[in-house]
Amino acid sequence: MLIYLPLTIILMITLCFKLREHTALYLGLCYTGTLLLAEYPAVVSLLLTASVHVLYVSSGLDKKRGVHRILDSNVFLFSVLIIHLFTEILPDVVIKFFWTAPFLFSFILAYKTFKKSESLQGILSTLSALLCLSFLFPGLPEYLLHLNLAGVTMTLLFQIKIREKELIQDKELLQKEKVMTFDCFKGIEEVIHSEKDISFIFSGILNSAADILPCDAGGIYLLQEEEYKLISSGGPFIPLNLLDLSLEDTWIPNTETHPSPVIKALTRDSENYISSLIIRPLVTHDHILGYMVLEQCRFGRKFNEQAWQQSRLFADFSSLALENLEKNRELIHKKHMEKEIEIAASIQKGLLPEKLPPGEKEKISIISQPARNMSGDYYDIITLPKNKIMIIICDVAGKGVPAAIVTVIIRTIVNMVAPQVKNASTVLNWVNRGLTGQVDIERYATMSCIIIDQEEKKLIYSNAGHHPSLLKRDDSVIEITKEGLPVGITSQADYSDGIVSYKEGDSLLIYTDGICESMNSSGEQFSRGRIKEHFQHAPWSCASSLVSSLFSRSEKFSSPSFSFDDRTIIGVTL
Amino acid sequence: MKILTDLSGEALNVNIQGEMDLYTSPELKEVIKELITEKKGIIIDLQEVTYLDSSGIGVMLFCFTFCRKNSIPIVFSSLRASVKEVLILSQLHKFLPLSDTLSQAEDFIKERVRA
Repeated sequence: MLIYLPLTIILMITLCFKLREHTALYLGLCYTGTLLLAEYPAVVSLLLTASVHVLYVSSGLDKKRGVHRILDSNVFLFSVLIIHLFTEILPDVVIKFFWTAPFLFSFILAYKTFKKSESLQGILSTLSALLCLSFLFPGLPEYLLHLNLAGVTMTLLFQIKIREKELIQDKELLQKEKVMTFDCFKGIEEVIHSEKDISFIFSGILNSAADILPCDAGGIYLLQEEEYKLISSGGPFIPLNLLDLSLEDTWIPNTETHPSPVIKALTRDSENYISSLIIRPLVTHDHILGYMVLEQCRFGRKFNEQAWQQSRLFADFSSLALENLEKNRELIHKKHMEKEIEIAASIQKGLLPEKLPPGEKEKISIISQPARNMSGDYYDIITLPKNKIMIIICDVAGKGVPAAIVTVIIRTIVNMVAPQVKNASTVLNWVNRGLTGQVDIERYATMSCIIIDQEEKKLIYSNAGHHPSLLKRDDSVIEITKEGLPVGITSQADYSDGIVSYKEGDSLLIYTDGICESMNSSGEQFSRGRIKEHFQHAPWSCASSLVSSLFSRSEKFSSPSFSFDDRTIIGVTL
Repeated sequence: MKILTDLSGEALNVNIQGEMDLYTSPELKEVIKELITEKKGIIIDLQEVTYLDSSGIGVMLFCFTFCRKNSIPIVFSSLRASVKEVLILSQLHKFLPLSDTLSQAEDFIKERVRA
């Protein structure tokens, strides 16, 4: 009898290391253990039991299921072991009685495994039961035992064959999945670039499902305007009212044995007969986008466990396709928006004085850098009659497009009124009246207007909450400002003029808060103090050197990790 | 920016912590829009505000005008020197109702309610 042992053990090891087939391995080992017990002392069998456990635990696969199997094999082996120990002491009748325990165990296991359609494990358990039976009735011919062992060997070999076949099928499935992945992404690209309908992608996925699962028909429902609409379908698909179903993962293997409220009414002869059904929600980031419904429409056609598991793959692909499509559309929309903003920014740039009035190029220098594409800073240099020049600087609260739109409104008002005005305050009054109540209060603007009267050598200035401008004469710097609320807050705001005389060679510096509020990595601001100090000690007499040196200093000072505001500096040599 | 609201007192206390800028201050707008239904005076406590930019001021202006339209008294209280300086520079300290301490702010609201 023991001549079969090496063959059995080799089969066990092959199964364990090559195919990782645990169930067969343990049943086989239990069987071997029982054989050994019949011939050798209990210690050998105990060693075998221990090695079974070590192998089992170290394999690390399917742990949860594995624990149950360990318990099963323990019950079996220890029952056999106890019987063996008591063979010498207890009467033969009692021992025989005890052999019924492992017999019953094997018998029940065989019944359970057959019921679960695990036929090979069932055969092995049956053979174990038969072995126990041979101990119960020792008078049975020995060839029956040999046949039993041959049965075990054949079953295990058969198991290997089946497993190999399954592996080939798995490989083919993986290949199909690979092709489907490629088709899916190709489909997404085609939908985006050729503006094909989204159903194009889904029909590809449904076709793959029909081929791989297989299934008779399928449909994709998407949530549109708070309603589930059938977007794509393939085969003789029978639309369902999804709301009547549970709206979650649903698998009805056989509609006749597991009728649902919707399908119950359909008879086998009906045109709308559904024999088996799968519903999978299409989910991205915990958000349900729709449902995939797969149907078998012929009597006897069923979705088995494997089809149920694989259907998840097709639902995942559909969700992935939807998500990718959405992301791509957002990206394209963003690119369009960026393009439009770029065009708007170039229009805004065109509104700024590109060319300074003749003769003023050497005297006036400007640097303006928006925080984003479009600027909330606005400046203007306007030549007035009687050798006067008006300088406007304005900073609208906020950044980007909303602030830029307000600068355009302000520019329009300024350019309309400037030729007629004599005082700086008149410009601010007009802008304030034009803006207040027309634009959200949050889009208020600080503004400064300075008129350089080159004949009288004086500056006429007015201010609407803007940073004071700086006038440098010899080595001293004075702030020129007047009290006044920013424009766009209240129509009650009143602006007045200040006048200061200058002499040739004096210089003027005007800026927006993006310069003084530039922040370094420790959160310190560039500050008005630094601007004043730079202006005071600047050795350059020309405006452009002053402006560029101050701008680069504030730029070097500020940390790139802090978001900066729109920045503008105007320098004038008087 | 973090906003803590206390509805228990005679006036609603809205405590703001952190930076009030373009990205954070719109949240305050939404809070004020909700609080207006309480029909109580509002004290915006700015003691814990470390930075204020033009967008933050814009939202303060919105809160002020929105409350005024709804006849709800509002006051901005306990501004840090650096924050107050930003308002002084743009002359808005003369336009927005400010108070140095919370008790002054409470008195201000009481007076307005009586009036």
